[in-house]
Amino acid sequence: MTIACVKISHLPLQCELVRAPDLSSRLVIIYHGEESRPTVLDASSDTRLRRGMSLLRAMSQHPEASVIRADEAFYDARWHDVIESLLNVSDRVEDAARGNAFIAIDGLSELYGGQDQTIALISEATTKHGFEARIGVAPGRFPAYCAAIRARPHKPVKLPSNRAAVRDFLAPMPVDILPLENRAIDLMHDFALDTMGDLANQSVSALQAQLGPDGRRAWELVNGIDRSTLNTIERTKTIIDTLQFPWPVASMDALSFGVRALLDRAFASVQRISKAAGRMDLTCEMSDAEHWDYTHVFKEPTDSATLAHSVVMTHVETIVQSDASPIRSPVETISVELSRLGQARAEQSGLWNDHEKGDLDTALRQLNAKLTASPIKTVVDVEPWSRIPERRQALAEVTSR
Amino acid sequence: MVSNPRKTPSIGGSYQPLNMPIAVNVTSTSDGQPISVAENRNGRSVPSKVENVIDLWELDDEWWRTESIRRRYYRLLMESGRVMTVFKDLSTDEWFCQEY
Repeated sequence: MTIACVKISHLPLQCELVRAPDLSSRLVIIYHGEESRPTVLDASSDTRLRRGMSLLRAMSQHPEASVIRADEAFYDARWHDVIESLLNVSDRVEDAARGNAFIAIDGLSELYGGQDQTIALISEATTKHGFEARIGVAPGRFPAYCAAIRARPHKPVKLPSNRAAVRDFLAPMPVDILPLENRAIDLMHDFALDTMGDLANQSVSALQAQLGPDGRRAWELVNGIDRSTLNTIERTKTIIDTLQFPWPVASMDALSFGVRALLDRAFASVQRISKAAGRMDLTCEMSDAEHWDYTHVFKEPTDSATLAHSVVMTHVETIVQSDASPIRSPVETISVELSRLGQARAEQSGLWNDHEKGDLDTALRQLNAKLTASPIKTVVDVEPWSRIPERRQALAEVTSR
Repeated sequence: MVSNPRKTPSIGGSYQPLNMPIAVNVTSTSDGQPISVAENRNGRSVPSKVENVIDLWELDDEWWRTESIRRRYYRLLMESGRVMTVFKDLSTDEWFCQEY
């Protein structure tokens, strides 16, 4: 399987530079974690700071750096945009972690006119969001990752499909890149097996004897054998609709009316495809350009606009009464996104409807008249908690009244 | 008067307990462990060997009454592969079959 690995190094930093291009001329440190002990999430490569380092220590080394608190939701959203664009190139994309994706590109050459064109499209999927990605192409997940590490932006590294060439490419790389437990890596260093070439020169049985299953896997990986498959993501279908008020609305009644109209429209689209929505994301844009977002995950997927409307308005009524209400100014636009589309929950109906209950009653009356005792019986709980089995349930006659 | 549309047929007064004990012939060892149980197959009583005693527990209830309930239950794996539950009435030394 030919796999392309897309690696966006310093994704948080690149996100911040897209948001504020003037930061590009300065050293930047992005931190996260608790206020009492913040740590470095990402930093300009010139700083040589490592992720996880204490922020105080980092600032003492680079007092001139601009320090920014991490906006993880923003980075995730930007990465999600990249994944969406990659899904437009191939339907087999694995989102390995924020900044790392794998794409199966077998068969795409015929579609796009060659492997180079396919790689160009993958590259474009990242550059159009303002990111510089490293791209590696190889016959397997692990060699593709190693190729991406060696690649430079706009200069992808492609490995040939034969195992010997992959093995030669991997040989000088450190064993620390192998996707194994730290314990196994430490043991390799203890045996002076520092590069993948050192590992490849060992016999598989010797490695297996020392490291168990990890030893075999390591040997296979460094010899260009990677049997792992991609855990591809399924593209989710969503229903998006927006309603713009003719003028900003400040009254609860008008807002409720607008939300209802919007939800009616969106859920009609859901019903048309015989689905139900599992998640609802509502966004209100206010006249002062502020946004208010509300996300609700339904316990069971629903296609009921009435239920969704009551959920939204109950929440809105609660928050507008609080002192720190996020809806502080008139609402101009509301938009809704319905996702996690699935099948609506099946509801079990009663055994008999009202009409049939009447029929049953008549039938019982007739049977009683004919047989003197009712032949229809039902199981009833008498003492279901009893330790004595015959006391728990009993058969009782069903009689008409 | 308008009839109640939600009214369902009611349950009468006569009850018939479910899962009543059924008397069975059990051969046991001197210490009371069952070794064969007469299983009912097509109306005939056929002795079936006990392969293994899976579980064993005692029930001692209603001791405040004149006739208290004292039973020793055995969950048995039969030679035929069937799992069945029998108990020995410790008051009368009679054996019964009953799902617990």
